Amino acid sequence: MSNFFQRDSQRRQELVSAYVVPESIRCVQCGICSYNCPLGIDVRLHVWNGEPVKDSECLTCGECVRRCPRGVLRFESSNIFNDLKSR
Amino acid sequence: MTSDLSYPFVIIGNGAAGVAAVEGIRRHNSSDRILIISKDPHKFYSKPGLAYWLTGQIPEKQLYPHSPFDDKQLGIEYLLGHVIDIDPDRHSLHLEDGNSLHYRRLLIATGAQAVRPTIEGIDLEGVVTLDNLEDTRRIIKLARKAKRAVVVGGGITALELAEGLTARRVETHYLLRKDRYWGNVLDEHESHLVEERLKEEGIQLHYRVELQKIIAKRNRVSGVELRSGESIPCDMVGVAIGIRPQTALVGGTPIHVERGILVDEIFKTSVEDIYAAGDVAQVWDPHTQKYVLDSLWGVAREQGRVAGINMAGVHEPYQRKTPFNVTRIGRITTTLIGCIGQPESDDDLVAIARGDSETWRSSGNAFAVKKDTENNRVRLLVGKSNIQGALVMGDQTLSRPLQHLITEQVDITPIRERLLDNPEELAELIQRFLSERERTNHA
Repeated sequence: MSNFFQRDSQRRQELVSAYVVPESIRCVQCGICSYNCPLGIDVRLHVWNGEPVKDSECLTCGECVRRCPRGVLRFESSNIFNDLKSR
Repeated sequence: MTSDLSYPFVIIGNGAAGVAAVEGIRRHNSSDRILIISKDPHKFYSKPGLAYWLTGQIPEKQLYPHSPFDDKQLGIEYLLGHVIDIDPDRHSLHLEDGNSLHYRRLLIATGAQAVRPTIEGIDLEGVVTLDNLEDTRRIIKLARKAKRAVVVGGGITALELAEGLTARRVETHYLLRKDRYWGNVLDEHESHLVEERLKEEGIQLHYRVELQKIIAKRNRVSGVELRSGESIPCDMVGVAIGIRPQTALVGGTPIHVERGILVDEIFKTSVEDIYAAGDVAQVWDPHTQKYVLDSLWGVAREQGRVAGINMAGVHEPYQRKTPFNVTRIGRITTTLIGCIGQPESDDDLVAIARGDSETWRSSGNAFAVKKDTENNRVRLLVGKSNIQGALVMGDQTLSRPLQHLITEQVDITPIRERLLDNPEELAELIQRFLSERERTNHA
C-alpha cells in the first residue's frame, strides 16, 4: 500500500514536468521501455534517434523511465543535475 | 552469385557497429550500394537484451529494434554467409560456400565470441554460453527440464547467466576461483554487496573452487568435478570466462592483430581500404597511447557510425570517450566509469566479458574516496586535478553528474581537498560544485 502512494506521488511529480528525454549512449536497445509503454509508443526508436518522446499520446506515466535497467530515460525538468549534457 | 560481383561498400557483421556503419555511410553517400554479410540468420537484434529475455522481462520478439534496414532503402543488400578469407591486393573476399566478391571499402564488424575453456566435457549439449540469440534459445529450452546448473566465469555475463537460470527456476551454483566476485574491478565491499544480493536471489556461491571437468552420463551433462576432487551433480553448465574478438577471417593477411584488429582513430586497419569497428577492433586511444578493447554496446555503435563516415570519404577522427556502462549487477543498478581498477587479479575471467572495458582494470594514480549508505556505494578515484573514475551502486543520483565530470575531465581542484578529507560529504560537495559551475557558466 505504501508503495502505491509512493508511485502515485512520483507520478504526480512527473506529470507536471514536460516529457521523456533519452541519453542514447546509455541505451542498449533492449526494448523494455517500448514493451512497457501502455500506449505502445516505440520509446526505443526515439532513443536510437536521440529524440525526446514528444508524442501527443504520451501520458508521461513514467513506466518507461522506471523500467529502464540502464537509466537511459528521464523527465525533462529544471533540475540542474538532470540538465547536464553528457554527449 | 558470380565472382565478378563488386560492391562499393561491404560490411561484415550485422551487430551494433555494422548497423551504425550503414547509417554513417548513408549520411554522406546516399546512392552507392552497400552489402552486409552476416553469418547470423537473424536480423539486427539487441545482444544486451538477451539477458532480459532470459530473466523473462521481455519476450524474444522484443529484441528486434526498428533498424535502418527496415525502411526499404535503395542500395542496401544482405547476404547470409560466412567470410573465410580476405585478399587485400585484389580487394576481394571469399565465402565458405565458394563464392567470392569484390569491395571498394570493407568494414570488419564481426564482434567477439565467448571463450570456452579446454576441459573435458566442454562440448556437451548442456554446456552453454550467453553469446547470441541461438545460445539463449538453447538455454531457455534446456532450462525447462534442468533441475540444477553450475555457472563459472566472471564479469556481468556470468551473473546474467546465473540470474537468468535462477529466474527460470533452475537451482544455480556459481563457482568462484578466489575469495570474491570481479576482484580486479570491484573492491571488497562492492563484491560483498553483489554476493549478498545473489545469495538473496537463491544463487549458491562456492568460493576458492576450480572446475576440473564436466561429467557426462549417456552423452548428457550429469555434473562437474572440481580440482579438489569434489563433484556437484547438475544438468547444465554455464560458461562466461570472457570473450575474444572474431579475427579468424584476417588470418593470412597483413592486417595487424593483437588481442583485436588494430585500428587508428578513423578505424582503418594497417591495410588500405579495410576498416574494423566494434568488439572486434582494438582501438587506438590517444590519451593512454595504447590500443584498447571495449565490449560496450554504445561504444560499438559510435565506432561503427564514425567508421562509416570515414569510409564514405569524410575525415572524422573518433573521440574515444571514457568507457562507461550502467547495468544491474546482482540486481543492483551500477554505473562504472573510467579507471576504477583494483590491484588484484581476477582469475574467473581470461579476457574482458561483454559489457566490459579494459580501461576499468587500470587504477591510474589516484586516491579512492568512498561513501556507503545502507546498500548504496559511491567510489571515486580522485587524481591530481580531476576525477579519473567512479563506481556508483544503488542510488544513481550521482551517476550523471559523475559521468559528466569524468568524461569532460573537469578540473575539481576547488573541492579536491575537501573530497579527500570528508568522504561522507561527497554527494553534497559534488552537487554544490556542479550547481556553482552551472551558475557561472550561465552568468
